[in-house]
Amino acid sequence: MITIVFSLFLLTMLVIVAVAILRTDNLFTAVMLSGIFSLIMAANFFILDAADVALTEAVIGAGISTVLFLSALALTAEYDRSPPVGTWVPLLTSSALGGVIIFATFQAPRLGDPNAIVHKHVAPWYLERTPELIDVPNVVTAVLASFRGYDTLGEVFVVFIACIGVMSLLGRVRPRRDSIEEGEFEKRSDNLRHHLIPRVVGKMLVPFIVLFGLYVQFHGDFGPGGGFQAGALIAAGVILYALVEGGPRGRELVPEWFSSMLVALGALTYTAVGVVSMMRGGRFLDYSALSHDPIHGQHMGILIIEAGVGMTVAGVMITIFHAFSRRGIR
Amino acid sequence: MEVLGLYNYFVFAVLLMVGLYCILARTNIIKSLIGLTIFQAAVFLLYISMDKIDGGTAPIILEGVEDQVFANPLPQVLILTAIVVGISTTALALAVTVRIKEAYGTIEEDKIQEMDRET
Amino acid sequence: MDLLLDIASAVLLLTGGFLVFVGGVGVMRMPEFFTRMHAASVTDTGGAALILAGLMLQGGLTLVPLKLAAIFLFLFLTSPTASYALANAALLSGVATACRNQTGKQLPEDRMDPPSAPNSENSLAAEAPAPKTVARKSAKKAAPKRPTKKAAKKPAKKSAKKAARKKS
Repeated sequence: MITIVFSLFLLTMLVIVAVAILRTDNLFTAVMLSGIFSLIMAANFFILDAADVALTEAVIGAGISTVLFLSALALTAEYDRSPPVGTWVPLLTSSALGGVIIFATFQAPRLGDPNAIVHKHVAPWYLERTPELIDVPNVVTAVLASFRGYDTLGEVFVVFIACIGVMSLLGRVRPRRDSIEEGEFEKRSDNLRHHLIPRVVGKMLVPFIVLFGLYVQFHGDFGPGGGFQAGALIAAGVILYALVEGGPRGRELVPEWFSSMLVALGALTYTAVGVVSMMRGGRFLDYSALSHDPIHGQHMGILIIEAGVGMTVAGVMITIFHAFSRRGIR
Repeated sequence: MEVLGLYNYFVFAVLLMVGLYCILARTNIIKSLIGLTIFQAAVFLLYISMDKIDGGTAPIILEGVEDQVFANPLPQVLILTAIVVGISTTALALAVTVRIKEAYGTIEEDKIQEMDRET
Repeated sequence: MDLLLDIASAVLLLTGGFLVFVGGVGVMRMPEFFTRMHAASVTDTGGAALILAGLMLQGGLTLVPLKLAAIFLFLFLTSPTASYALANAALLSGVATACRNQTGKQLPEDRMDPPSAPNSENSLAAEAPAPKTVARKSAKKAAPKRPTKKAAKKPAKKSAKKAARKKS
């Protein structure tokens, strides 16, 4: 009962924040509100029993997404100057869409209905067979890394390609450092050097964030966590350092060649596990072939590919952030 | 009670409407992208709402605890990866926006179209 | 013993909840930005600490109180920092304070959005930034120039941008 009350409250908050985002014409406000939106969404996911997803949404939606939007805002504009004409067509279109969907929801099973079709399909099989086939407590990790390993490989490559896209659009433009004097360069960089308190506290938190990221990475088999969350957390730590100390210092901490190498190395690790399992007589990404004991092989495979996913995600986030922050000080 | 069980779907529909309106009505590209993230989040909410089961917990099997009901892990897996993919594609869109700003000096779609017509 | 613990944690949780509520009311009711921040800090410090303490008593002798203590430490470090950064940014960008309101003529225009009906949103939106600019300019005149680069650069750039926008 109490979860329903919480859920209703949070969902209503979601709608209110979304409408507030729509109504403001200050893009900075809109971005901050979308961070709040993601945080409420994460709390909502947690209430709906999706701990892994809540962790991901909190890190990526409320953390990294906000930073990326802000760094894009710094390069573009602060105000939304949409003209006041032509608001009828969008209003009609979206109302029609909403009306159709609300009409359709009356056919849908209610929230938490145990007889809903989703709960009768493959999910019981996953929940039943995970202990005997893979033997990791977190079923989400088992499904993500082993049962649906192909899917995850595809997702990793989508992230990889998106990173290549951002790099080719924004990357590799040398800041004209020679034409600007050294002191001027430091002054123009985007750091918080003159704000002592955020700088000290921010730097103090970075190691703990990275440590927590590593914990999430290697504890992902037993609790909520895994490569996606851990990669984002570690990237968030590095991005925090870069925000506090300025983009150039951030690029000294994790150079661009290193972060882009991580991206490729992670995807390569993932694929290599598949190839090795083929060479040992199994199918592609069939971890049982990795060791004499199939369950041990599964454990090993999940650990390695999660590490690969973590490397790729962390590398992608850091590389994208570097690309944006470097664009700003041209 | 029956209607309360559908509340998640209603919020999903409303968020879709808000997101779509934001994409269509605003000519500012960044505002449209924020609308797109709302739209995306609405779809995430729909999927995660499906995984809930009465009396269930997060799908982490603990040793020695019997008779647990677990939430459906499959939507969680799909959305977990979709969130990460979503942020990467959003970053790509933002990169394109930055390049548009550098090329045209504005990120308002109508002004960009005007400029295109002039040339 | 269990009953005693339960009562203690209930008292802590209720007091914490009350403080959070007070903070929320304060944010709504206070006249301008800095007093609102003051109200919000009640939530950050008292509310969070008491609620976490109450939860720690519920956790018993497990890892849970330790984790909650870690969360408390994290909040203890981050929320004052966030408040500082917020107040600093507000001061530098010249949000009007209540004192200035009494002496000067400017009304504090520190709300995020102009209140507007949904259908007349766009027409109002065009006029909205104007009073903000005035407030910022007057604050800049009143406050001496800060040595930090943000003070020197940011408001100047913004007002210049706005002036350019007004011309066009």
